Amino acid sequence: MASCGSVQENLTAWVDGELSPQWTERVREHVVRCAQCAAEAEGLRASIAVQRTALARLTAAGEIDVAALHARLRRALAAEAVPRRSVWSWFVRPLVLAPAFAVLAVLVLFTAAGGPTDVLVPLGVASPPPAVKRAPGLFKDYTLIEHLDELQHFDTVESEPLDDDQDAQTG
Amino acid sequence: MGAAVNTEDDPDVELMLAVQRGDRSAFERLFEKHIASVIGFATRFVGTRARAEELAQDVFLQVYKNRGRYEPRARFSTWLYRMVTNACLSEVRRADYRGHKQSMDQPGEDGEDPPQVASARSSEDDVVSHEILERMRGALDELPPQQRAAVLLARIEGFSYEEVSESLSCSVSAVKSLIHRATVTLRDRLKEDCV
Repeated sequence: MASCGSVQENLTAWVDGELSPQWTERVREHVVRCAQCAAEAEGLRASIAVQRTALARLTAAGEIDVAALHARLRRALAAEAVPRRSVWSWFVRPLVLAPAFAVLAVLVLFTAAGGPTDVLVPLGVASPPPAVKRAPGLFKDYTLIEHLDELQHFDTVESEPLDDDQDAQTG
Repeated sequence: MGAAVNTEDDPDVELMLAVQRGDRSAFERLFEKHIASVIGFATRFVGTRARAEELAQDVFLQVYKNRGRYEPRARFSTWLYRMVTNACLSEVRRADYRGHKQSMDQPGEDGEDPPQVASARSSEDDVVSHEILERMRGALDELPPQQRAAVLLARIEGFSYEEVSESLSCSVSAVKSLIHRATVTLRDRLKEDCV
């Protein structure tokens, strides 16, 4: 005969009819002979009936506005149905915007370098001023001409004596 | 052990298969049929009716989104409550949950009524006194979440131990232990009233 300990561990499942046929029979035989386990089983059976009723009351949702919940669910489903932006678009979008950013960057660089004219005229991309156009020979030196103000005191620049000069003086 | 469930006898299985075929009205019928019990079940885990409604809606969204994965191996409610219990247990596990948790069935800040007792009572219900309900409420809320889920699925949803094991993703012997411990704990709390 099974021990009281092993039977009592299985009593709830026995009352619920959830034991295998073999164990069901084993527990039944024990309970017939053991008054203590029989009382325990009867107590569990009564308690489970009360628990079932009380739990049903505690989990009853009461009044539910099913229509409102349904409408909410429909809205949620509709939102789910809207195609989300694919990951791919996060890569495509920069490619579309890249030229615009490139133009902006060039403009910023031109401005930092003194303006588009100072950059494009020496490069031959933009037309030189009319005065330079009239003397094409000067065009190649246009950038130099632009900086003549800085070169007007060129002759006052103190330069280091050349090696040849030093040799002549010592010789 | 519980008898194997014949899915052909479960009308919800047919409805769910119709949902798979794109029948939106079948989904709405499943929603209307189960929404109240899902909210009632969830309320015992999340504390407030409003949060239970949100959780129930999330679950039904999951049902619709996962309709393609549904296989009629068991009753529809077994599949449904697997999602419900997962959502409830996840909610309980959240680290910030305790901070937000109000006492079970206490009115919320918005004055929400506690979601507790159905208005319709049978003569059998009348034998359960208010005191027993209060004891049961306290005892149930103190049960470990898995024991609570197991005992509610078995006693309220009428699940076999095997179905509970599928819903909780654990073995049948583990379910046997969970339900036994929960039943004994609840019995001990109610003992003065029911013996």
